Amino acid sequence: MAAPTADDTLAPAKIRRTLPTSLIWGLVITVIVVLAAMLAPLIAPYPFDKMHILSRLKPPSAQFWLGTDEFGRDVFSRMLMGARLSLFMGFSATALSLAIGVPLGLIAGYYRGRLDEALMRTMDVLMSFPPILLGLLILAVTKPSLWKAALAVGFVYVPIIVRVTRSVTLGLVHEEFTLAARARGEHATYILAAEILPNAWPPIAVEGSLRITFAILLGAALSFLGVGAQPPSSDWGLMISEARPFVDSAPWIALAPGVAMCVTVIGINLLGDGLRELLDPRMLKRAAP
Amino acid sequence: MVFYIIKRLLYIALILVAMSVLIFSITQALPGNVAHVIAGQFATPDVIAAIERKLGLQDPLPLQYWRWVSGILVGNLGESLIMERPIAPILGEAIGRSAVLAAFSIVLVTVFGIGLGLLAAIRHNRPLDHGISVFTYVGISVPEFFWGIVLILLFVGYFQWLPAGGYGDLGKGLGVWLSHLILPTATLTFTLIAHVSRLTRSSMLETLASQYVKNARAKGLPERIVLVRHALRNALLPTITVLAVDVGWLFGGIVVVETVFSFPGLGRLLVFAIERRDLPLIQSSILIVSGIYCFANLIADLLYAYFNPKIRYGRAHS
Repeated sequence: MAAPTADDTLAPAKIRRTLPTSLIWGLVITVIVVLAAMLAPLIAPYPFDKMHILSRLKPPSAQFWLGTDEFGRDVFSRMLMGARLSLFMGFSATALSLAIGVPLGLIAGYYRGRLDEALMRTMDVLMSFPPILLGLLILAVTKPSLWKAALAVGFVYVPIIVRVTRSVTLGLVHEEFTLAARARGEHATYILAAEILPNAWPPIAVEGSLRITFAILLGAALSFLGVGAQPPSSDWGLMISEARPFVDSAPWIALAPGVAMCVTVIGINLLGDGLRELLDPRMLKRAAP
Repeated sequence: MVFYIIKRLLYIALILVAMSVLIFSITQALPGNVAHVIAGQFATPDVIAAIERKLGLQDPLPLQYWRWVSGILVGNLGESLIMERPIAPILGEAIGRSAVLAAFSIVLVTVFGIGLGLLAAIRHNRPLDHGISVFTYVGISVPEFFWGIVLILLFVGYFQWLPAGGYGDLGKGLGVWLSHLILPTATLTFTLIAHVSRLTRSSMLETLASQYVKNARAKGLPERIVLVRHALRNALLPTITVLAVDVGWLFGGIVVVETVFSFPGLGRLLVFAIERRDLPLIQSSILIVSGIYCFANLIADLLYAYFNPKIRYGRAHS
């Protein structure tokens, strides 16, 4: 499918002198968010679950930079700690769907036949559920928690990864290096891991980078609906859900985690777009006809 | 084409069967079975056993599954445990309200999504294009529930123009009915409009760079004709597929948006059912929503085939 054509390989690589703007901005924002998440316990003025009973629903001030919530907890500290949970959701769910999806896709594309058929029809069934519904269905049967939500989100995105991996694999199975490895009598595991996977990774990586922000948003939505992170967790989705009754009187409780989530998602999206622009030779050509 | 539709319908039927098995087996794992939910926390084992016998919960699982599925086929969805009413009318009412929300949203997404995308493509690299790009980038990055809360903050809290949530019965007047629909629809469409317009823009740009558009321009055709006759039809093809995918998003969005605005539709019913562990209600509503989703996808595929002259399903080898 994405087999390099003569045109792609022979044309001298056009090396861009400047990095894409989106990459730079994406990198800046993402690094800030990641740093904030890593250093959260050091930066946060208060523990995220410490209640200041006498200062409930206080607007932003010198003491509480982003105000306090209904229990008198510092919104700024909670927002910072929430960054950890959000990144955890995005990366662990994506890692899970890659860990399950890539091997399945490789196997389906390599062996074809009934195994492939059975696998892909199963994926069809899973993809026939709207994602959030599949997540709700899985989480409805357990006691909710953040890591279970991450598992569910990862599981929901497995079919997409399987499809992408399979379609790249299909294109690589008939390449000469694969045939050569077969002729050498290499084991199928070796061929898949050492010959096909290294050549298949770019589209998979692109799909994976897209999944990170989808996972963050889906995970937050599940927490918002009450089947993800549980109180007193400072997950952004949960924080927004808890802030709903106070939107009128104390909007900062909802705005802080909401804006933080938007910034995070925009940052990672920009980073992904920038990487794609940098790595994808076809897009390069389109940009410079 | 007819052959293709029949084939697809059969496939959907198979998928629905598989889905029902999946839903049934996952919900079987619910901790604390239905009898516990009915009998409450302090029930004695005798009471629970009695309820289990009455509902046939001690029967083998395949038999229970068959009872559920055969009930659905004749329109009997069982009874809600919490509301103690038959599920079918409850679901019907909720579906009706959600359908209004979905219909408004689909129309808006189609009109504004495609419109903004085309506008951006035609004004490529001008300020308008950049403006639309920023708007759509924010659009795909803002989660629906937060966008909904921002809207409430603005139009309910600050301007006090609209109700914060709930549902206005049509009997109370068109204005009341509409005013309860505006914010949920706006929330539901924001992300999707952004998504559709980004795709329309890139596909239109690609089409505008193509040889036949250059050809049409070289012939000296007026720009309007080039855009409408030559570029638009081709550029919209990928958009149709995306619209279909977005219908799926819409179903997800409805769950969230209805929760934000306490809108008594299908999504809120489902969340309610999950909160209260109302097993029959969970099973039936998830199956119904997923079924609708499958059919929406089929319709999108058919539209795609209709608009794309290169595809004529089912005729290739006959």
